[in-house]
Amino acid sequence: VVDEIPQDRVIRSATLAMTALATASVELGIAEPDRSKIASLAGAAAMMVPVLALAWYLGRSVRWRPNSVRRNGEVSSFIVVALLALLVLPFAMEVGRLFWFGRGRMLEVLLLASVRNLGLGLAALSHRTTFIRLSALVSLFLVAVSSAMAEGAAMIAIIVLFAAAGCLWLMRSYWGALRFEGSSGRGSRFPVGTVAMILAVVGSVFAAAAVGPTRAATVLAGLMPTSGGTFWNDPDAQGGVNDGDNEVSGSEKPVSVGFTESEIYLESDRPSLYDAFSEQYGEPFKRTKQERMIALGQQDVRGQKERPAENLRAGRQFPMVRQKPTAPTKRPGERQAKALLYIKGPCPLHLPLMTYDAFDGVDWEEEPHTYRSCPLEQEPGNNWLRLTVPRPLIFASVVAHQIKIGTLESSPLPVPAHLLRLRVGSVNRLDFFGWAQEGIIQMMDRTVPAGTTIETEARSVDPRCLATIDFTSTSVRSPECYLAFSDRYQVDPAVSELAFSWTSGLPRGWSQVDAVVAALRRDYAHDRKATPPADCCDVAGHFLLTSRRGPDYLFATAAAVVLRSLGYGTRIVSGFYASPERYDPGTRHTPVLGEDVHFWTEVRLPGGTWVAIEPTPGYEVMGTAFSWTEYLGAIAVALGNWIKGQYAIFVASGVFLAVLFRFWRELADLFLTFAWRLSPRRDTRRWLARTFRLVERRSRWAGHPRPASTTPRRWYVPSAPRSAVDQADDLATLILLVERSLYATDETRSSRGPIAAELAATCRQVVRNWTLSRFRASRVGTLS
Amino acid sequence: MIGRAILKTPVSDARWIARLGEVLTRDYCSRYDRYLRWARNPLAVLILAMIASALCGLFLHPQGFVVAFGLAVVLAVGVVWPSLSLRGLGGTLSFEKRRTREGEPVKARLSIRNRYPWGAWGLAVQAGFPEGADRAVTRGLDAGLSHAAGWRTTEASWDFVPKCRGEYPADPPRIASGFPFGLWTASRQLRSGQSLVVWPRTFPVGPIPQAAGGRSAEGMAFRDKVGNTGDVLGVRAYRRGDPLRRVHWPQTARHGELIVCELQANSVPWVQVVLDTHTSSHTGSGPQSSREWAIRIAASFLEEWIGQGAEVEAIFSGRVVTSRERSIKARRSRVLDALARIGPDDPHSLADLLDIPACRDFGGGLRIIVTTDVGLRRFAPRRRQLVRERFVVLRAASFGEGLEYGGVEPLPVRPWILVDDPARIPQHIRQAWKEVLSG
Repeated sequence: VVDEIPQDRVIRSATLAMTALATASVELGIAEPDRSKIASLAGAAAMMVPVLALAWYLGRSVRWRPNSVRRNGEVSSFIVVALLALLVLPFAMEVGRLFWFGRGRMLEVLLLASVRNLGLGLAALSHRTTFIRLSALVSLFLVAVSSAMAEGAAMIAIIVLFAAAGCLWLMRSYWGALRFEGSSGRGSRFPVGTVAMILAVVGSVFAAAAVGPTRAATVLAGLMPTSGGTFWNDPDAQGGVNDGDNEVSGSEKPVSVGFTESEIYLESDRPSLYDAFSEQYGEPFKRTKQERMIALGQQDVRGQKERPAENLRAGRQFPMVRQKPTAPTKRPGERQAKALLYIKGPCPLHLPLMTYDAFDGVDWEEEPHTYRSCPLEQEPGNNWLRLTVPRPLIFASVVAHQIKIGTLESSPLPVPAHLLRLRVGSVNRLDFFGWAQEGIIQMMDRTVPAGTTIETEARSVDPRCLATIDFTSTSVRSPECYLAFSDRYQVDPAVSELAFSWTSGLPRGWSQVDAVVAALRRDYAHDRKATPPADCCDVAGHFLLTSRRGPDYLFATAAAVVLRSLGYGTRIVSGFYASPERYDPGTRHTPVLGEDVHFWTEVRLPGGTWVAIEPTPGYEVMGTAFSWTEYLGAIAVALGNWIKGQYAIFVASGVFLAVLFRFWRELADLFLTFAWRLSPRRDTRRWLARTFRLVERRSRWAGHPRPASTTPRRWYVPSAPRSAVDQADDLATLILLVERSLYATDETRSSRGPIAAELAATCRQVVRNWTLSRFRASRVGTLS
Repeated sequence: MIGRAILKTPVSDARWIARLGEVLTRDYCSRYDRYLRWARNPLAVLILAMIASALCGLFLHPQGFVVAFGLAVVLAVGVVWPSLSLRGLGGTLSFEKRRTREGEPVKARLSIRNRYPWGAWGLAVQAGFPEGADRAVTRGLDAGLSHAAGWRTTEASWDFVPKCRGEYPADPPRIASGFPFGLWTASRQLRSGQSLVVWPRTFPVGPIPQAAGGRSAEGMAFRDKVGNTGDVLGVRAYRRGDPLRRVHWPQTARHGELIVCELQANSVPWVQVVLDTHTSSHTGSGPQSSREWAIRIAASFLEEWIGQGAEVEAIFSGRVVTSRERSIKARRSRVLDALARIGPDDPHSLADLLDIPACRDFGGGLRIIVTTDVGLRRFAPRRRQLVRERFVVLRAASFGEGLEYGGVEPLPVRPWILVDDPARIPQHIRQAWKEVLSG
């Protein structure tokens, strides 16, 4: 622990830098909303200028008149009073401001401003150890507080720079407090390289936390005391961004409305899926139908009091021929519409709501509702409902989502396909749910209320398993409705030819499906406004052969038609697509807006399972989720395969590394000896030193490093009887020469003359005789 | 309170400013300072800042979490790095010599071996002083080592100037590091090589008083002694008290004044030095305390008189250290080693010391008692036959910090030497000795 901070120029500079950064952060934090960041930073710079000037002046005056510095620990009363004046200055100015403008500033702003002034005053006095410490403390406090009052790149940069300056301050303080005496290896040199590495580590961690892919602030926001949370909530919370008990109780007295897990549902005028279709794809052309009026008798008329609910009606159509969508008009200042759904969990995600099976060339007919109850069972002890349907072996790990119903009005639940289990608030009545169409769960006789939170766990599809599925068996043929078209429509032969050309050479199976999807994504362009002409009778043929561009429903239709022509059971699905690009790190949710309504195609597997394919460019099917063990296994297998492919290189590298590991000293010695031979010999003294360095290195590598406290003569020239160590004579001569050269006059540096020649001969002899192996075998150092 | 601990008494400025400054910087709750001492530690400051940032993140803006997280990283690096860098270190601290004296430099050698591949920076040798040891004493042996490279043995040496007697290191020395931030200091124990015994500083005290008497023995010391026995050594001028029987009349007649024969006899002066090191007898702390000075004075008498061939006996802390029948060097080492190893606590008062058998049975020699005026307050002098006692008394108030000298209190004994100026003790002893001789 640092007891005494030494007077160090670097520490002083770091203190001033910390104060400057703290001032800048405070200025950003307390700035009025309409003030630009540049103006705030300029204000901070303007404050620092007199501080730096004063610090410079005081530092110089202390250097000139060292006796003027009072004993450490004693502070002039004038300084104390001046610091106090700086502290209360903002409050005094506030009184004047109130009197003059009639409007004051917030108390926390005043507090920050006065502490900032104190920090500036202390920094100006940073020629004193006492004030260095206090100034650093105040600036740390200022940055910690003001970082929570402003955001943006400038603030993040300030935080990172402050971290670096603070670390440097701490390190220099510690280093300066150490007492280096005598001979100690490398002396007391500050380890700049190590310090730079530490600063880089800390700075990068700060930067990663501040601006990384998943911002630490965003992740840690889950700890905020809100009106509710996953695990806990705070009754004193002033706001709410999460879900939890308090929002449920809030809905009993609906001052504000948020997501709820209660069964208290409020009716409101909210958009349905069809409204989203109309907004996104344009209104369908209204066909004029000629009807003949037939008079009915009174006895044929039967009164019906209740109006059938529109959304529960079956047999609806989705016309492919539609008007061009109009861009939504927004008045200036109008805020973005609220989202229909909010998704928490991995995206992209397809949320199927309705399926279509019959196609007549222009319209897709909605698949009839089954009205069957879902095979659900409630898990004991909680409200999770588990689907008990058989699962084919095409799935990987489970993916969990939380889907919050925004303004969407829909009876089918917007949940991912291949659902494993779900929880809709505290609803545990199994008869509330049923199949709308196959694979689409709906709430029976009601729509999903706004604010409902649906938690789901679904299985993700493993493409590798799909490739192994056998489509050739006739016993598992899809029902006719998914293979054929209505009587009025025949697939254009050119389309069939196109389909065969795309899949030629591929075995029947999922590879053909992939080929069709790839061709559509590759050769066709997504264009929402490229709608087919109003009089078009075969929108798929027009899209595939003529226009080659269109909205997503044409892609889905084309894929379904082409795959049906190849004998695969298909249907198209409408619903929502949660795009990862919409992810909002602030709320940690992916909003699904009206623009995200989407059509895609599903292929029926032999077992009856529907698997989504995405033929529209720009949209992606959710990736396969793997558990960490599967990930590790996959990485290991991939690594093994890669190594297997590079076998020769690996063996050669291994041998090379082994040789390098075993003989690195010999190789390095070879290199250094070569470099020694090439080195210039004009300056005898330097050449001697170079030779001696080589000898020293050999001795060290041979396991006899000369301690720093031992002289070369004592280490290398043994004190044993001469007869026993006569081989060391040349080394002794070299050391003698080195010692002499240290004190030699400039004349002896010449590379000419008999002395120089003798020196060169000695050096060569030593380098030739005292090899690494000889050092290993010798008893250098042991005899000294 | 913490601020006050740093900002001490303001110095003179304009009067009202000075008064205001004094009011502003006065520590009104100084009794709570000891509970807040932890807050001066950078580690505590950073932990507090991290908590404050986390609270800002909770209640103001999540960005506060960034600062809290960053501070947590700094804390983690500051705590983990020193521990990791010291894991592979081991080594030895030894001294060039076995013995030295206070104020004399001795070479301290440190050999650090790093078993791990990573290096360790910013190392400090903590030379094994017990907790609470005087900083002025311990500072000399603490040393810094900038770098211990990985997989290497690093050696360092420096001059250690011991300020105070003792045996160094008292506890096993440790190598410590707080690098990079100094937030947390990790340490590992070093092996202690050859220890160092630091003798108390001594100064010349002059010849042995005649009062020490002497035993006729086959001793090493020859003393010029006027008496009836021994061999004639020479002649000298008559001094008052010389027996007339030894007057050398022919020389007297030649010189016109009385000349006596001087006889030389084999005799060994016998001195007993009783040193009062009782804790309550002394004031001050560290090397300048009255206790240390008393030890130095006793060591000076003992060393010099051993050198002059006297048979001495040192009594302190309930122990009796005699020096007989060996070479002068060995006798000197024995006594000074014992004095160097005197511990910080001693329950034996002066009366206790004089009551042990070695003191009770002492007779025929000179006893020097080194104590303070405080130690003499509880001492009741008794008339002892055949013992000549000389008291060297240190005035305790002169050695204590902040103690006021409360006037001269009458001492129960008449001191031989009274020491009341710590700055001039060697001169004082020498001068007082001469005065006694001349008197």
